[in-house]
Amino acid sequence: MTAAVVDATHRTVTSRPTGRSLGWWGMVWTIATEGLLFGLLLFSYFFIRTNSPTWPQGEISDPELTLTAIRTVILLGSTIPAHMAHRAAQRGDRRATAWGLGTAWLMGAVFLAGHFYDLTKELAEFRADDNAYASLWYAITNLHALHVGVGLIIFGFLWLRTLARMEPQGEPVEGGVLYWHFVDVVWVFVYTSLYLSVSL
Amino acid sequence: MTLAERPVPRVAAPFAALQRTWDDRPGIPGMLESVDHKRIGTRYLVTAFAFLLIGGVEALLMRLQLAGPDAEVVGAQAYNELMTMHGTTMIFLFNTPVFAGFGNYVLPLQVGTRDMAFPRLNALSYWVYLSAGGLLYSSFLFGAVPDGGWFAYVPLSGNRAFSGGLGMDFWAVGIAFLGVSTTVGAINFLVTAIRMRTPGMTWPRVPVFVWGVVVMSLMIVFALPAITLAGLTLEADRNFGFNFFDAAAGGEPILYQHLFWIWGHPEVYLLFIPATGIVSTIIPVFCRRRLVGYPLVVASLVATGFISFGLWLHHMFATGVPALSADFFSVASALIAIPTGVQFFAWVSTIATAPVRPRLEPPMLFAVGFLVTFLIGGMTGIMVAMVPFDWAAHDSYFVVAHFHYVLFGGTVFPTFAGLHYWFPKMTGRMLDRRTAIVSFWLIFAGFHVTFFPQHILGLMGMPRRVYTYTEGYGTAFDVMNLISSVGAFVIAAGIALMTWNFLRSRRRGAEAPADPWGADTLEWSISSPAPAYNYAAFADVESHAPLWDWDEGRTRTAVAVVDDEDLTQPLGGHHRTIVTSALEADEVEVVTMPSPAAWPFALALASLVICIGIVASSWLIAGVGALGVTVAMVAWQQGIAER
Repeated sequence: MTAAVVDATHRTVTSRPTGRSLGWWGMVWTIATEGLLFGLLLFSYFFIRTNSPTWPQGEISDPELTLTAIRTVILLGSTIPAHMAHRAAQRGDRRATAWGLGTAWLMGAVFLAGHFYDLTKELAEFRADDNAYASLWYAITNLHALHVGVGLIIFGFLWLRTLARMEPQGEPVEGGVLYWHFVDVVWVFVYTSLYLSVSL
Repeated sequence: MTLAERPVPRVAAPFAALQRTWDDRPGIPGMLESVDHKRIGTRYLVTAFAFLLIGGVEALLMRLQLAGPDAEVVGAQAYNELMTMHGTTMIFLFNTPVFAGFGNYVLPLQVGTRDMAFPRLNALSYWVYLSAGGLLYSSFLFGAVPDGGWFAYVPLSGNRAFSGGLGMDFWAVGIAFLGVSTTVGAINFLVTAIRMRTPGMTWPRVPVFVWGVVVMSLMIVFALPAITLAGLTLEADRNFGFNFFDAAAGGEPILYQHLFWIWGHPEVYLLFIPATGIVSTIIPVFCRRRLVGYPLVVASLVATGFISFGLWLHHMFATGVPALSADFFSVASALIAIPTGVQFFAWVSTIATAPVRPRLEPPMLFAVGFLVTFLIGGMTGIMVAMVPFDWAAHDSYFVVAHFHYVLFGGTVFPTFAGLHYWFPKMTGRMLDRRTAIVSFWLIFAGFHVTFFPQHILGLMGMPRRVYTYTEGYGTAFDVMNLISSVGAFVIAAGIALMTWNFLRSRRRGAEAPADPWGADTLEWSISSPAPAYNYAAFADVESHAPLWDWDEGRTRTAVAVVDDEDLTQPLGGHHRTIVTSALEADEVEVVTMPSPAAWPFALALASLVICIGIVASSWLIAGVGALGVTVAMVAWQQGIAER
C-alpha cells in the first residue's frame, strides 16, 4: 500500500474467504424478524381461540384435511431439491443447480395452486368479515401463500440467472434456499395450528 | 498530550483517487443516488430534529390549552389530534430515527470501515422513513389528523363508527410502513457490526456505542413485527371489515394492547440503550479515563435488552390481568433496575476516578443532565412497577411525568449530547461553546419546571389525555399547571437557541480539528468532516480505545491487503472495502460494494403510493404503486458488481 497513514507500520494480510456472505447474514436476520411476525399471528390466533366458546366460530365447518395434507407433503418435499441446488451451487455444478431450483419451483407452484383452489372453495362458504375466526384464517393462510409466492419469484430469478451462465452462483442461491426452508418451516406451524389441531 | 498535537494523516496522491471513487455525483442526481452512510446519517438526524421541532410545537399548544382552567385555546378535537401526533411524532418520527441517524453516521466510522453492509438498503431505509413521516403529516392537508392517541387502542380506534374519518387509517398504515424502514435499518446495523469491523476489533474491543446500536438492532428485529402486525390488523379491521378486535364478532379488544406493548415495551428500552451508549462514549472522553467496568456495562446493555421483552404487561395492570401474571411482570420490571444501576455506577465511578478534573464541555453537560434527570425517572419507574401503586397512579399525570423523565431525560439529553459531540466531525465546524451552554441550562431548567409538578398533579388525581379541567381544584392545582406550561416555553427557548447554534455554526463556526475532544475512538483519527471514503488504510486495533493506545506509545498499525495489491486504488468506479470474520475479525476479504443508485428512492416512492392507495381505499392507486415496486425491485440489481 502506498503512503496512506502517517506513523503507521503496515501489517500485510492476504485476502481470502471470511465465511458466510453478507447476504446470508442479512437473510438470517430477515428470517428472524419474519418468524416473529408469524409467531405473533399464531399467538393472536390462540389468544382469540382460547377465549372463544366455539371453534371455528359461527357456522363455519372444520378445515379440510386430505388435500391440504397432500399439499403439505409436496411443500415439505420441495426442500430436498432446494437443498440439492444449494449443494450443487457450492460445487459450481450449474446443471444440477438449475435442476434443483426448477424442481423445487414446480413443487412450490403446485402448493400455491392448491392454495388458490382451496381459497375459492372457502370464499364460497365464509368471508373475512364474518367473524374473528374467518379474519385470522384468511390473514394467516394468505400471508403464508404470499411468502411462498415471493419464494417462487426468488427461485425463478435464480433459475434464470443459473441458465444464463452467470458466475458465480453460490451466494445468492444460498440465501434463496435458506428463505425457502424458512417458508416451509412456517407452514409446519401454520398447518399444525390452523388445520390439525382443529380437525383432529 | 492532547489529541490536537497528535499527527494527522497527511494528504497524499491515493486520497484524491479514493475521494473521486467514493464521492457522489454533484447536484440532484447525486443526492437521490447517494449511498454514503454519512450523508444518510446526517439526513436522518436533520429530519428527526425537524420532527422534534414539530412535535415540540404540538406540545406547546397542548400546554397553552392546559395553562389555566376551562381554557378554549384549541378545543377538544384539536387537543386529541395534537396529543396523538405529539406522541406519534416523538416516538416514531424523532426518537427511533434519531438513533438510526447516529448509528448510520457513527457506527461504520467507529468500527473503522468504509461503508454499511447493504448501502442501497440503507438509502431505502431513509427514503421510507421520510415517506412514512410525510404520509402521517399529509393527514393535516386532508383535515383527517389521527386523534385516537399514539397507542391507537381499540375499540376507539378500531372502528370507523367510533373514530370516523381517515385519521387513524393514516396512523395505522403510516406506522406499518415506517416499520419497514426501522427493520431494514436494524438488519443493516447488525450485519455491518458483525462483518465489517476493522482487523483486530474482536467483540471485547468494540466501542460501547456500537454495542448499544447492536443491542438496539437485535431488539428491533424481535420487537418490530408486533407493531407492524398491530398496524396492519387495525387497518384491516377499520377498512376491510376484519374482526380481530371486535368483541361482537368474536374478536378480542385486549389482544390489541398485547400486540402494541409487546413492541411498545422493548421500544422504550431500544431507545434508551443506544442513548446510554452515547453517554458511555462521552463521559470517558471528558474525564480522560477509560470507562470503568466496560465488560459490565456491555453485559448490562445485553441484559436490559433481554429483560425488556418480559415487561409489556406492566402497561396493562389495570386491565384485569390475573394476579400471578401481574406479579411476574412486576418483578421483571423492578429487575431492570439492576443492569441500569450497574451502568449508573460505572458512569459515576468514571467521573469520580478521573485523573483530570472532568471538562464540562457542552456534550458532557448534557450527559450529566441525563444522569440527574434519568435518576429521578428511574426512581418513579420502580414506583409504577409495583402493582398497587400502579393501580392508583394509572392514567394520571404521575405517569406522564414518569415517562417524560425517562424518555426526555433518558434519551433526549443523550441525543443532544451526541449532537454536540459529533457536530465537529459531521460539519468540520465547532459549535459556539457559550451558546451551547446557555441552551443546555435553559433546556435543563425548563424540563424540570415543566415535568416535576406533573408528579404532584398526578398524585392529586389529574387524569392524563383530558383537554381541560374545571375551576375549583384549588390554587395549588391551577398554579402547578401554569408553572408546567411556563416551563414548556423555557424548554422551547433553549431548543430554539440550540437550533440557531447548529444553523449558524455549520457555516460560521471555527474550523474543527480532526479531534477536538481528545477522544479515543477511530472516527477522530480522520479529518473533520470525514472524507467520503472514511479510511484510506484499515487500522489494526488492540482495544476499544485505539487512539489512546497510540497516545500511550503503542505501535500504530494499518493493514495492507496483498491480494489486491493496493486497496486505495479505485477499481472500475466501484466502492471497494474489506470484510472480516464474524468473531475475531482476523481473516480479511476484499469486497466490492454496490454503487450509488436512485432505485432505493424509486422503491420508497412506489411503496408510498401503495400506502396512499390503502388509506384512500383505491385499488387503482395501490396497483400503480405495486407496478412501480416491481419495476424498482427488478432494476435494483443494476450496478451491483459481480464479486
